[in-house]
Amino acid sequence: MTAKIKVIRTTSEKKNHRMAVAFALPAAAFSLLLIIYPLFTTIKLSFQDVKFIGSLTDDTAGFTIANYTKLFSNADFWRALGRSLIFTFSALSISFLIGLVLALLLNKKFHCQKLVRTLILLAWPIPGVIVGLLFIWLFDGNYGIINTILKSLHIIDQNVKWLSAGNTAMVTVIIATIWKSYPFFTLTLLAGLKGISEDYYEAASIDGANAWQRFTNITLPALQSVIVTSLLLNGLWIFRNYDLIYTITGGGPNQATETLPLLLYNQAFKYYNMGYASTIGMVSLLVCFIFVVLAMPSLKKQFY
Amino acid sequence: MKKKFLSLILCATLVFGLAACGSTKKEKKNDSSSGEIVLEFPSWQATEPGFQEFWEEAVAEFEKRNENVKINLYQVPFDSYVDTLTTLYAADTPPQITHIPSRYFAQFSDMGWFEPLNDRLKQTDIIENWSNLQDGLQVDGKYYGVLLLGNGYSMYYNKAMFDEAGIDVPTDVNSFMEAAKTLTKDENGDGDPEIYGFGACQVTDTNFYNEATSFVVGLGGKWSENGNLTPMTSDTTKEALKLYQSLFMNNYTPTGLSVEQKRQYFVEGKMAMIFDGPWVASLINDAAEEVKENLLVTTIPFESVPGSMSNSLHIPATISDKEKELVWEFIQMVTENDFQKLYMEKVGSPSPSKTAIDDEVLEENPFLGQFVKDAEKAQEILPSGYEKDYGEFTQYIIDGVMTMVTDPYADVATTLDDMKTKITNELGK
Repeated sequence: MTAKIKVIRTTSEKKNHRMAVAFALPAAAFSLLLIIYPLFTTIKLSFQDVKFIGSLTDDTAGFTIANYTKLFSNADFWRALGRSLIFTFSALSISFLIGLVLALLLNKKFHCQKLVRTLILLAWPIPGVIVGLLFIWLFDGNYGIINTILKSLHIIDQNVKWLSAGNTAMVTVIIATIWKSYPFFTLTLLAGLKGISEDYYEAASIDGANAWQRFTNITLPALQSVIVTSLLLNGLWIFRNYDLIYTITGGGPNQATETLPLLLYNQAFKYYNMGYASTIGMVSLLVCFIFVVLAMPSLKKQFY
Repeated sequence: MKKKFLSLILCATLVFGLAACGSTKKEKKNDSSSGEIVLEFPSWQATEPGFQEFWEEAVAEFEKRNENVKINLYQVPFDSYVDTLTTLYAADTPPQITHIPSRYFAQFSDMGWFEPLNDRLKQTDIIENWSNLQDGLQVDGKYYGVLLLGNGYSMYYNKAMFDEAGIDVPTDVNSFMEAAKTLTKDENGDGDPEIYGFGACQVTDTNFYNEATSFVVGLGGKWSENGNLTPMTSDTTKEALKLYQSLFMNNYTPTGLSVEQKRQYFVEGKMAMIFDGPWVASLINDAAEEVKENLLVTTIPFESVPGSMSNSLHIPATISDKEKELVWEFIQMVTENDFQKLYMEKVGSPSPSKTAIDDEVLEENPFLGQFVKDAEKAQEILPSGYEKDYGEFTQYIIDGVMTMVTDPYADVATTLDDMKTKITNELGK
């Protein structure tokens, strides 16, 4: 039986502790207000038949589960959820692979390395709306430069109507999302690679390991925590992405690119069904929570 | 000691900084003790050429007439305008002078956000002298706003293309289709025309709804009548949509265009004809000289002229009585003939006032006469009986019509039946 040892803090330690709490308290309170209050309001709205917040003609006293029963029996919701998952996993996996390859390349020393690194990272800070507008013109089905290039390379004979057909519209928004998100992976994975000591690679080379063996046995395990964290952060960002898809296709053609965030926006701000939109928000939150839970074992190892 | 002092300073700065980010309701409300009242006036037109000059003159004149009143006119981009306004109303901080695209009027008034204006309007001659489209701002016999612009859609065309092809500007549906076919040119034979006879929008937004509905209403059809969806599946509506579909099937129009691209390509001379509102005239003014002189406007060559309420002014229901009086005074001032003439001069769009239009005004703007004619004959494209469900109703129309004009080009009759069933199930009328 182990005896419990009481930890006695010195006066200086207690003072430091109080100072830390004093600094952290305003930010924590502010964050709590920004997260907890809206979350509580959203939960409340999801159980009400409300047109919009601030409506003077709504009855906000009622409680109903009608929004949830309507949601789960609505085919549009399940299709939007399916599209969201396909969109997220496609864009996330490809942008991760591109980011990883570029990080590995940038980790080597070569001429104009800094310039190349800057150019690669340029896409990341560009707002989603600007990226969307750029891709509308690039992928214009009539005069867009993508079709011109593909035709000049004889890859296509006729213009592809990128934004007018369901499948190609989804491909376009995925490409735009990949373009916007691979720099994040490049940046984080490059930072992770910089933290791996060269000694490991030297020792592995001496032992006769080839490049693939060094990559799978040294690089990947060393990057595991960075990979999981960056996949989680970028995955959540891509899943919640609204501005890019809305700018490029508006969720069309014929709902082909209508993901959960767009469905939520349409219900709240176009159809003024705030109660139903809040329900979609709660389900989106649940999906994001599942992402976090899946990543939790790796995050625990890294941070706790 | 120094460390402690520095820590306290930083802590205090953080706390005061956070406190300064917010402001009390007391500070936000007009400070009646100093006598000055500020009326907030957001608009998507605050920095648009033509509109900006008009609004700035109106604001300056109103402030001159009311010494202790200031109007804060500021720009909000059109794309986010309705969302911004909705958020302001939801937060109970509505702008005192509320300017909205009128198609959202019914949804806003359904939430009790607007002040009824019947008593105020009775003391003026606005209703007698105003466009009939003003009636669209009524709910249960009460007016909730004053129309600023009601317009018909017109046909803009490139005269040089017609002259080169040796054909006349169309005056009926058959000559229109013939012109669209003749003026579409695929010079290198790769199946992708370089020049198109017609330009149509094909993206998921309300401009697509407006354009498709222009064909339906223009050719004598409609989506609904007082909430009854029978007209949606009428032969007239079907024929109108088959015509619209044929433009896409035969490649007489580019595909996937947003409204901005449509207007841009027309001004660049890539399309011979487009249907649009009077606001395109200002875009034509900015076109290259050699193209500008060939870009003209005429009536849409269909049996009816489609059109709609465009934008209107409203008073929020929850502001103070004093502010309501001032906003009403501003609205009345803007409806005066002098200001309506100024509107037409600066903006080039027709005034809703029947008494403000005279020969002098028409002479100054070559397109204005056409816009006035089209506005007078305009048939409303908003869905009759579904105004409060405008967002959802139009989305079902957009989704349904999009399948008709996108490969593999859904059957018009079947799609209309499906749309009717879906709208009946979802909107329950």
